[in-house]
Amino acid sequence: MISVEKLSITYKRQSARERGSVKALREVSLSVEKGQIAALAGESGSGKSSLLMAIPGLLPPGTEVTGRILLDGTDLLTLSEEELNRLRWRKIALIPQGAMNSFTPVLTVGRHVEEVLSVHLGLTGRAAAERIDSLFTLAGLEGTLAGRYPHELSGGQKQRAAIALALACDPDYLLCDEPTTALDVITQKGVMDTLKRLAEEKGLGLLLVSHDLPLAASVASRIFILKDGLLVEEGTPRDLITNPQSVHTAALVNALLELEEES
Amino acid sequence: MLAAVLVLNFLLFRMMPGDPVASIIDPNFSPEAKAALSRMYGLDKSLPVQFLLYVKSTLTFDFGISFLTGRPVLDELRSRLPNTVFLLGTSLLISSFLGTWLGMAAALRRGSLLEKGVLWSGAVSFSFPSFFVQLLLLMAFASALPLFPLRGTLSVPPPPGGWALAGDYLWHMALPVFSLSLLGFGGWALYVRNLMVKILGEDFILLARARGLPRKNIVWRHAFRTLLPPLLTIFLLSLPGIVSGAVITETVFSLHGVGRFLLEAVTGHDYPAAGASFFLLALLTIGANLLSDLLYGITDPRVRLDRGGRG
Amino acid sequence: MKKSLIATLLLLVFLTSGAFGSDFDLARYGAPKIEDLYLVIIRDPDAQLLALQRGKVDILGDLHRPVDVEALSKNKDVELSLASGFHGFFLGFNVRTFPWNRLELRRSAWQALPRERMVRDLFGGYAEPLSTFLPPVSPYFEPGVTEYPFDPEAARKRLAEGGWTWNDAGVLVSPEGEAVPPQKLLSPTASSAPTTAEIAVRIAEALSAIGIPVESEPMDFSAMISRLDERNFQMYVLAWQMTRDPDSLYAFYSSKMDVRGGYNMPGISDPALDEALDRLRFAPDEGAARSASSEAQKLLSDLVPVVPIYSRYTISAVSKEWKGTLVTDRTTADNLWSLLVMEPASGPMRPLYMVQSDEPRALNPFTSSSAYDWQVMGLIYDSLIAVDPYTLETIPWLAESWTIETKEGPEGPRTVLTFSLRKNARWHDGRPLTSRDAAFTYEFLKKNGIPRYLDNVENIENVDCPDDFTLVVTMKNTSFWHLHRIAGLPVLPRHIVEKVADWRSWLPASAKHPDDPSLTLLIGSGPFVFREYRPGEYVRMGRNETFWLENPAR
Repeated sequence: MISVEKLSITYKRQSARERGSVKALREVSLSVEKGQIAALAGESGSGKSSLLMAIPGLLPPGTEVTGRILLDGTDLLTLSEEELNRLRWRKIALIPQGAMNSFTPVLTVGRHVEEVLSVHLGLTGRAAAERIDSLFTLAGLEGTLAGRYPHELSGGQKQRAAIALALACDPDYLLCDEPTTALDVITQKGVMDTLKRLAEEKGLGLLLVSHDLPLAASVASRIFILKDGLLVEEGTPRDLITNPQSVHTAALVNALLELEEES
Repeated sequence: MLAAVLVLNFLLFRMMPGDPVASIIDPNFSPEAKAALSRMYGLDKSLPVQFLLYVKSTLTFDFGISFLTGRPVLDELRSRLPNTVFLLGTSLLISSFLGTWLGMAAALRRGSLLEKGVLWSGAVSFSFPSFFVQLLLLMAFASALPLFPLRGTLSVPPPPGGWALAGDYLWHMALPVFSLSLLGFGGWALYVRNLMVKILGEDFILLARARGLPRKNIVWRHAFRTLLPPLLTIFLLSLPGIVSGAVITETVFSLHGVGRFLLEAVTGHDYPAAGASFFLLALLTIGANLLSDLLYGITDPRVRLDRGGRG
Repeated sequence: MKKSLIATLLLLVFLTSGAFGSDFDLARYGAPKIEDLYLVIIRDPDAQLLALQRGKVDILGDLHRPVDVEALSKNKDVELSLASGFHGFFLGFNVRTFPWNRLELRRSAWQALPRERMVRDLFGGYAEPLSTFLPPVSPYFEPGVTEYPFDPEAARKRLAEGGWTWNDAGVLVSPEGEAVPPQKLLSPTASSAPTTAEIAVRIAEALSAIGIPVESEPMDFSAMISRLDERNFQMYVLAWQMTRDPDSLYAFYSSKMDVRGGYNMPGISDPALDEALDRLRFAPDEGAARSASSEAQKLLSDLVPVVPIYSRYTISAVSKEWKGTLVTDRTTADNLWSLLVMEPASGPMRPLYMVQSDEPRALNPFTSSSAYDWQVMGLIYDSLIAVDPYTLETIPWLAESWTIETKEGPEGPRTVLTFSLRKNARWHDGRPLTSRDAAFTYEFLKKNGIPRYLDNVENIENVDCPDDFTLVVTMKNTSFWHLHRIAGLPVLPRHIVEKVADWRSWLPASAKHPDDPSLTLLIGSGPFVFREYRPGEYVRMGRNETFWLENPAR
């Protein structure tokens, strides 16, 4: 179980002209279990991406972080970079935002997968090639695409390649940052279905960050809503619709219902 | 392309004011003697005829006889090229490797003393006048502290034997190569550092960290491999330009090289020598451009679709 | 400080020349004592200086930066020598058009120039003001000429007396009412010739002060020369290396030389001057030459086609580890005579290292015209005559004696030169040098119309060899200077040169001698034998063991 306890994140600005700090997250607690899909929703700037990047320890150096992030009982905030490296991707993998420039442009997507297989599992050569092939199939991609460079793939293909890469080392938890933005509606649904299927089949714990509440509500069993760095809502999708705890959520839910009526 | 180079080469030097014969200021040379000299140089022929002769001699790599030295231009270049190639090649390799290494180190340790040192020394190296630096080095390490020779590529007389001769050559080239490397590394260091800082800030580096990759993988496989294509391009495209750096170095250290020859050929209206030198320089430029395109294609997969689109 | 140094140097020069006596004695000289001579190629003047100071070289000639001379004068291990030479720096006018076609304006311009001060300021005493058209060291120098000492008031007065006035802007107006238009003074740029550019600025200031609006116009040297060649200029400054023979005055000031490629750039054209210069050029004997030369110099000082400004000293430095150098007030220590007698001040013989400030080029006696080539070839090839280092008069060399006669020919009188050659001269490969070698050389140069020697040999009618050691050269016309033009040519080995296929591309230094593997085809009869040229590094020469000039009995 990943359990975030009273996490606060403060970014330090240290340019020549400005000196100051921005609080991105204030004492937020939440948890995700294996086999569970949790969604973290909120407007952009609400702190959800910061929370996601804080878990594998990827916040910029100098950022002030307090609270605890427990992975099966171990506080990740106390670990060194090397200790973190042993957990990263083997326990916690990440699917970046679709719009992100997440693949190194001069390496084929297959090479990215091959690299983590070799680094974390010691898998090389034929064994690695077979695994890449099955990972691509699992992500709904043709195996031959492994030889392509990132710029040679479409947005949807790239996102599926990112899923294949994330699953390479059989992680326990998958952090997904807006996995479907920048994708068209049909591809969005395909990617979400794949993720949902994987969570069920492999018993993955999935933390899904999205500003798209309907999408989140359609897959998640638990929803957390952030606003201005504060956790304002927490519950099942049904709880949220029937009994919103904040004005903000109510507004969100109303918008959602209107949308459903129209369609 | 080559035709344009030929025409330009021919016209450029003939359009410059003065000519090789008119520049003779010697009361022993009567107008008749000057006319005879003009005939000897073939300057009495019409321009189209001169041009055809020039094209023929250039394309056969014959190049004719230098007006200034009276020796075949090809001989002159052959005896001078090895020194210049060694001087520029070695110092370019040293300065680019050293500069790249320092630039990377600075980018990886942002805000450290090392980065400040690299930025400062890079700016100094980049902006100091080469003549001043080289003369200072010569005075310091060849005169005040006579560790290195004062001039040339060989001792006078040279030591006997192949190995001793090679050692003597290296000993003579040490100071010139060192000075050029010193003057050259700064540009590389600053360039690489800036490019590397930009690359290290890219999403794909953060994602590589997220995948728990060891540092050396991130630095070399992800960051450096991305840096390589523009670096190679700069390296190759700088080749024709560094020839100018040879002029001063060859003068200060009394080296027998093509830089000096080129300068004298141009200022002395030595059409055959200037034409040949610039033709070869043009070939070098074209060659370096082709090679850089080729290497970019090999090292950067994006180049086939969208050249340099992501910078 | 500088002035006192110069005074000391000059004093030293005069004392030594006094001590030696003014008569040069060839019998004191023989084959060189030096066994190995290295001409070390160092181009950069700073590096040359460092090499001398570190003892890496022994002789450094042609110093011309005052700072270098200053630095060396403090060095106890180095002996400086200083000599007046044939360098001359002139201000020229275009005398074809207004205003410089007015004689009184040219004379006043001369008088308006503070030449002493300019020379003192810019050269710190390492040059002397020049007031004549031949330098004082010339054997044909005429002291009795019109002088124009610096006096701007006198200059203004002369102009006022001639009817010139000054307008409101202070600009000179001719008696006919024409104001002097702004004048451009062409000079090289400050980056290529800093002192020359500065002199041009100062001349412009001095002339503007008496109402001649002059501005200096620095330009690329080649561009400037081509403007002069096209006669497209108003004023210019230019330095010349004049020659030992005064007939260079013909090349500079005869109206026949005001043609494309000719050196009468000012365009002076005066019947009396032309007549004197013709007499000088075609003087049958030395007496006639002397009087014509004197007359021409007097006329020039009256006509003022150009204004002489200064003459640079030649300065050289020799390490005190060597002794025996010959120094006169006209010859610095780096001369042939020194090389014949120099030896280490103490200890065994060792190689002598001499700075060569640029690459010798083709080392081809037919095409090479650079001083750097002839610094090498001058030690290899001999001429029939040599020059006395004290008086700069002609003395015997390969020729023991000669006569100059004027004989009547089918087309009028002509000069006949008869030389008696030494009988013991040999080429470096051991073959004897005879009059047939000299005859072959002159004929080869003439037959091939070799540009460099065209002026020397074009007037040869024929060359005879009555015997192996007598040479008779008959010219087409009369001139005393034919002696120098012919006898000053290098004598080349016939047995080598007759096999040359193309003199233009002949590279004798790179071809092995067919009989002697230690020699190349670059052989002569001179005191040093060419051994090796490593481009960019050095030229190695060795002592000619069988040099014909016999060692004095000691």
